[in-house]
Amino acid sequence: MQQSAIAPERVVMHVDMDAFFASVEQQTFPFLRGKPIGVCGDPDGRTVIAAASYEAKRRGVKTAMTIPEAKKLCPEIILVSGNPAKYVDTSTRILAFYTTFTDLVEVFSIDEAFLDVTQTAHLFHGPEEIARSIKAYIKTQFGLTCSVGIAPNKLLAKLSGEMHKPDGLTIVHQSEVAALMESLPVQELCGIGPKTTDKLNWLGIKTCGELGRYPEKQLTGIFGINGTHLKRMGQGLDESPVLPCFHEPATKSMGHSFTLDKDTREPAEIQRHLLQLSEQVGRRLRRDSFAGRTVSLVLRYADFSTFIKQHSLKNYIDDGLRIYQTGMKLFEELYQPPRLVRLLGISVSNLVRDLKQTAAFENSRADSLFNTVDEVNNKYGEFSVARARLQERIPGPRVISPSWRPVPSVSR
Amino acid sequence: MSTSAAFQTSFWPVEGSAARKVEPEKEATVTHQRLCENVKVYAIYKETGDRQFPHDKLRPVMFIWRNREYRVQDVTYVWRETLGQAEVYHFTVSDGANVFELSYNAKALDWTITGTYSE
Repeated sequence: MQQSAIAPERVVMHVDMDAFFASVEQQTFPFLRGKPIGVCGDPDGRTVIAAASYEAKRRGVKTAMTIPEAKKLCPEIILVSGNPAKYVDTSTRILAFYTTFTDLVEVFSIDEAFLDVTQTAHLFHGPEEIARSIKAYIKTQFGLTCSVGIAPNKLLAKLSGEMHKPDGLTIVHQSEVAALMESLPVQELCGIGPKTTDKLNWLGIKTCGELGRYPEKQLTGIFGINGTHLKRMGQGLDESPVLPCFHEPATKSMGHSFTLDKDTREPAEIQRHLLQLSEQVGRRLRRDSFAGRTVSLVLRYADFSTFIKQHSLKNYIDDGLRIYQTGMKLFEELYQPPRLVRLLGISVSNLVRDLKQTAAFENSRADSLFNTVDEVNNKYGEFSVARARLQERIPGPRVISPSWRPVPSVSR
Repeated sequence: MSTSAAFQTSFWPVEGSAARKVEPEKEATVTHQRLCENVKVYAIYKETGDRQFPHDKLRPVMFIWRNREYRVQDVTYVWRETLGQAEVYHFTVSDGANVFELSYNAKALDWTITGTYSE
């Protein structure tokens, strides 16, 4: 048998849930169907629109818009408080279904995923049939729709998936790529933001075709090593692999931030928020057997000016109180009284894993206390046991982090 | 324990001339009552093959709440949440007029009504 020297064309699929959070709420509450709705953290608070229904999108409402902006465009918009548990569970079930077709499933965000079906498509009558099965499953199980793009790489799969929304299915073959890219505006590509677009436009580059033909040397002169990458993007080339869950790059830091309900300069209020955030970070570190040495504090004032300061400790820590104490020192160094504080964030980086098994970790009596508290909270839920100061706890997060990934126990 | 109005709606009256009476647009209102009351639920249990996601095994068909009987016409959404070691299954169900949220704690084996929603 003669073997072909040419590698088979990659088949990458991008699945994007249509107006995910908003569609879930419309499915949950039938009286919201067909109406402009916006899902946000707290309709009475200072959050932004996390997702808008297609009825609201048609009126110009977009994700990340503030509530006053959305109301100005669409006065009758119905604001719905988001339910992260519902979205996480739905997404987890959908992701598990993807893994029935391939183990190469990359979670791009809570409502987007890449599937590499190069090696498995023939088992399911081809990629188009896989896409139809996925769409049918999502419709039958949840009443939701998704848009699917199928192409030779991730860049083009995402691009094609966004061409026909909602409920689209777009296939781009390698032979069609050059014609597709020729007149496509550069900002349509995932990874080319407004700043890069401005710079490219300044160079006279408006379309991907122009970007792909532009001299590489001149691009690298302006964009550094990204210049080569940009040129290849313009040509529709992308070799980046589909990275399955749990094989993604190692965690570099863990952190939480919170926009306060009201701007404040009250020390007690600031301390309470920072302590809760620190405890949340400590809990996550211990859950994943991490410890870190560098604590960073993010401080945003009412005028949105933002400052970040970090401090590296001698020892690795995973204790909320130690994180808080370091964070408070940083806060005292950063804070300019009497300015009003809008947002606080704290993170721990310089991480190592499983350090408690070695002598390098600063073991203390507190460790056994943490173990006990963690066990109780594992059994009865977060903050079932907490420091007395956190009795009046801030409500849990009503947003889902972009870094959300399904927990390992649900992967097949 | 009950609090209300977690949903917010907006109504911006249209400005008009004094000579023309402006009829306000129908306000898009969603009323939400948050509850936490034990409730008697009649449900169908069916064996399905999926051990990982047993969401479809249980289907509420009727419940009695505050001495009134509600027949479930539609289960609009089901999701699972982990609270400590307990798995809690949430069902939003419709009786044709209102939407109710029923929650089943698979560890404590009890049902609670956690919310009502109406337009």
